[in-house]
Amino acid sequence: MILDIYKDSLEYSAKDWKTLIILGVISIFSFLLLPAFLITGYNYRVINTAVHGIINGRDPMPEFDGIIDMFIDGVKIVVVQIVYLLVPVVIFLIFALVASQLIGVASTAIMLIGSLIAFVALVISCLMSQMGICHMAYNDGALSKAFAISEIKEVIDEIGWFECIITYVGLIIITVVLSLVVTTIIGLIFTVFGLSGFALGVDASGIFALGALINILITTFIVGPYLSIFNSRSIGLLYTTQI
Amino acid sequence: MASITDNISEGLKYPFNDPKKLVTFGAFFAALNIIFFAITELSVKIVRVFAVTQGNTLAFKFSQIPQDNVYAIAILAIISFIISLIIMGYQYNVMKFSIDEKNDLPGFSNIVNILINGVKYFIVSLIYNIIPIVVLVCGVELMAVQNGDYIVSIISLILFIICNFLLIMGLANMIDSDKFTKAFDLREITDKIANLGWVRYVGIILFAVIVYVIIMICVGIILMIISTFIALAVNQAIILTAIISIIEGLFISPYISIFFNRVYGSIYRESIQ
Repeated sequence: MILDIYKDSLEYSAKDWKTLIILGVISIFSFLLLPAFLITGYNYRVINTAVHGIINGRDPMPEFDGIIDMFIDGVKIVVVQIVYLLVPVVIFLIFALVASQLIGVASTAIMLIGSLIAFVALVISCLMSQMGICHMAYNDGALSKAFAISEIKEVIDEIGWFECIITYVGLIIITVVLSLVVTTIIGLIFTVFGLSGFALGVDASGIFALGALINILITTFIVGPYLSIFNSRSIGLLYTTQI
Repeated sequence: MASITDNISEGLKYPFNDPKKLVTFGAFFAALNIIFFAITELSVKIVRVFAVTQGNTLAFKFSQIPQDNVYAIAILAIISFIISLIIMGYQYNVMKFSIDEKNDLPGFSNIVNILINGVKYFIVSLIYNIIPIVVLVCGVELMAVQNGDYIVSIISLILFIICNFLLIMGLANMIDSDKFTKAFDLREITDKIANLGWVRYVGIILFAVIVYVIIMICVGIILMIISTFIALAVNQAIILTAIISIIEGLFISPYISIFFNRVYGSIYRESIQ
């Protein structure tokens, strides 16, 4: 099941390279802050398509129309994520506050326990926030559904907590490996070019600079958008595996 | 409507329905910005008089203030107040159009009507804010007497927030029923908010504020870039400020103001369903 999700998402994200380029261009303007929300908004649309679709279905890529709706969806996602993220942060701060009042072993022990609890809370809140976003998308974008804790918990119970966490760990591994592999390959190619140029007695620094530039361009325009769509699609599909 | 946040995106789209009226409305904001700019410029001269005559009696200080400047400030203040009333009156009309679910922007043909509505809008806002302002003044006085006593000021801040949340519903209630006293019918107002749900009500307004903050940060960065280019071209701070405040007044302020009032109106519409 999990492998099917990955396979479908990997294929789905590679469907339309124009979308990837557009996302890359938007991400360049992210320093204006507003475009950053357009990207999250687009990811929300991908999730929205996924939760209403099926694994290995022929879902089309979402369109780039209705910029304002996209922006609002992006803001909604960020709000949901921040609210869920607040829980572990507050837990950690409370423990830190208590620990700062104590001295010696007790302080260290409290801090250690606090960090552990905060970490568990972080994992759970990440899971809940992603599922909350899916639940929100499934219920036509009602923001209150993203915080309907009991309903989201039921959804995760049906999918299985273990499977959810495994899927997320897999997603992180795939993301890291893919980006590492791509940058390493390009880096290697240009290292070979540079070394051979150096052997021929040419100044090789230009070639290395070109390699770095191409690496950055490919990461922003292709790999970054690809991975973000891949992640959103996978999470959306994971939501649909509930019975 | 599926989600209450749809109101927000509808509010963001609404000003684009008639860009001509948006910019016309913006002309008032631009005029207001320029007048405030002039008032600041003039009042700097008065402050300078106070600084130069330091150590003299108060009567002497007042006698040294250039008379022309005082008159100019008084006239400009009156003009800016009238422009503010027009702006508030237009906001009133935007809210009315929103409650009536009209998709076009209100016009400027009936300027007397706009002024009357502006007076209503202004008085209701003033009355709702009187209690927190009084508490705030007390708090500031208390802080001056008793160093570090912030509690009253914090209470006034909370009162400001509560009063302004009620104010939004009060304004909408007045506009819908077209009766001035309806703005202070607290029972009816709280009933309508309860009908919508307090969490939803506060949440939707907070959401609008978040959207507003994001837009303003983005606009701020863009204006900063534009002003860098203008600064390279003209090299004069006063011209630069004037150009930026005109741009800001013509396009940004009216958009934001119409957006908020449209959203307030649609919240009210949701609450009476």
